[in-house]
Amino acid sequence: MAKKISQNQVERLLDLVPYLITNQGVALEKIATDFQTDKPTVIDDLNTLWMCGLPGYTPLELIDLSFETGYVSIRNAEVLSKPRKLSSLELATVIVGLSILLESISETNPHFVPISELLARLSSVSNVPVPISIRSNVKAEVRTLIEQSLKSGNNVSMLYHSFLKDSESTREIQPFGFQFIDGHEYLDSYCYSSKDFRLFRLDRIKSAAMMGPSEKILKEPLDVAPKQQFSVAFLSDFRRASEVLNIKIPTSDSRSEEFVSSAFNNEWIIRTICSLNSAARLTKPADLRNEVAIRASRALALYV
Amino acid sequence: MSRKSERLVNLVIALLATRRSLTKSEIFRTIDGYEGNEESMERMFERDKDELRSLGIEIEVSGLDPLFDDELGYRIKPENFVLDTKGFSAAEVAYTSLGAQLWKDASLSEPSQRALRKLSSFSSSINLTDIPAVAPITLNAPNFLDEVITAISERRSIEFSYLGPELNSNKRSVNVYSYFSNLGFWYFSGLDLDKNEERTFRCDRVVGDITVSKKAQNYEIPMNSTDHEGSLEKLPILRTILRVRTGRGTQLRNIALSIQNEDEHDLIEIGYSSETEILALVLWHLDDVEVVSPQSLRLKVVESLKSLVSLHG
Repeated sequence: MAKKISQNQVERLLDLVPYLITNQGVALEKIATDFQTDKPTVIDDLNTLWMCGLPGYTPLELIDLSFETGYVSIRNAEVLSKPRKLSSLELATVIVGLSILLESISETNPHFVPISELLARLSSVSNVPVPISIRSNVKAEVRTLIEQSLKSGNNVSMLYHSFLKDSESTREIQPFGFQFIDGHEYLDSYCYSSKDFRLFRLDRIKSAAMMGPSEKILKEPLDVAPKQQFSVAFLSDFRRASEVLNIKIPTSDSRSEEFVSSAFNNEWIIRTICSLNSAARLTKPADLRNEVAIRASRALALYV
Repeated sequence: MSRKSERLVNLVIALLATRRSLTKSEIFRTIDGYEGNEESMERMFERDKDELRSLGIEIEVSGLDPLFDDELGYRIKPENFVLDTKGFSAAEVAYTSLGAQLWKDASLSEPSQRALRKLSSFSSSINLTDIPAVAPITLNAPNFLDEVITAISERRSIEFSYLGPELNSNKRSVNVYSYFSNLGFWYFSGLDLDKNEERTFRCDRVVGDITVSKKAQNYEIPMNSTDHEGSLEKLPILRTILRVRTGRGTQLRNIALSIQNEDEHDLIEIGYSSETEILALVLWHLDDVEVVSPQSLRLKVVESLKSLVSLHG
């Protein structure tokens, strides 16, 4: 969730001056966008700034602004002309951000070396702790290739591991964009192999290669089958079971209640319940519950 | 238009422009906006100093020498106020902005937007199109990441409630040493003060907010603190042999130590460290996988399957 940037006028004014000096003639609207505020606030800021300057406060000392035309230029503000130092938390956003960037580009990317050098330098001159590691479950090469294909419009051929089908297959797809659902990254795409629109989990793409351009397929809303609702009762190993099923249990007092959740795929429900080793019992729907018993006894038959 | 903002900006300009420190009486005499009697100007100035300091602006006080009864003087040293970009190329400034931009809709968005505002006075023409513009790792970051980072850099202890395996939440007090992100989750590690042992905590198991202690420089971070990242992945020291139906068990084949063909099955050997995990993996595959050895795991699977049948029959 986005936190709103705190709007302290003094800070904004101090940052506004160097910004205006670099961007002479900038439109009021553009300032409002860049400073995440509205036009009346920008005008109020400029009116305030106009009264500021060096002691004496004659026109010789005051900051000289003109913005009647809707475009702003500034003169006589040398003292504040340089951007302010970053606070350590602000620097932290840069340092953690760069660490994440490094993880998501491959080592052969031309930016890799300069970014790692910059990161080393920034962290050596500050007391901001660098994350000891950033490891994503998405392969950097796969991400880079898909980003390129999104820009060029070329198709991608990929080796995809479907956990539910328990198989790996090579598919040709046309990617439309990334989606972030329930903590996982998905690739929204048209799959030529299944001749349909599909969401693929990015971390299950094992390798990818660029194909030629093809006829642009118009993105259609995914024909999503309604999710299957199911109910479970938790019996033991509560934290792990609730995390695997992605169910939030509010407190330990309520852990013995029945919880309702939903999933796109019945096979996922059955296998997940089985993998939880009786830490959770599927109570509804009855046919799925039955299916768990049937599948488990079929597996049991291997041992007798 | 705000008189107070105006006065504060004027104060910053005057304190920055001066080569020597300004005394309070000089400030009251020359800087626009200080009005009223001596006492109210004093109060005004104290509040102004506090406010500027809360914005991260360092005001230097001179004349604190107890042997001399000098009047105190104030100034802002430009080197403490201005971003030092010496030796940074245009490309590096652009990377810096890019790093901050990743937090746009994520937990560190507020300080990152402030950083970007400061950096916005650099124009850049460098081409960054082959760098991903989104980083979902930031989206999984806890909303208290800023507090964890501050706690580490200022050596402050933190307190929080943490969800235990049975969903009982209990209070933990920790001297935080490090933080990291692994396969979709964020963690922090440090000395658990009640257990007096180093522990790693998964951020999404923290219930509610964390409290950062008021006391800074409360501890030292040992140079040889445990490799917590490594401790997440224990070495697979145990071995199991599984009979897997031909063409099934892709997950298992991907981590196999060896695969031997046997009619309609393959014998697959894999290593594991946690019985819970291997049990989950075997059970997920239902009748595509049979545990051949060790016998103890085989018995566990049988027991689990029986209980699954009785719970769902």
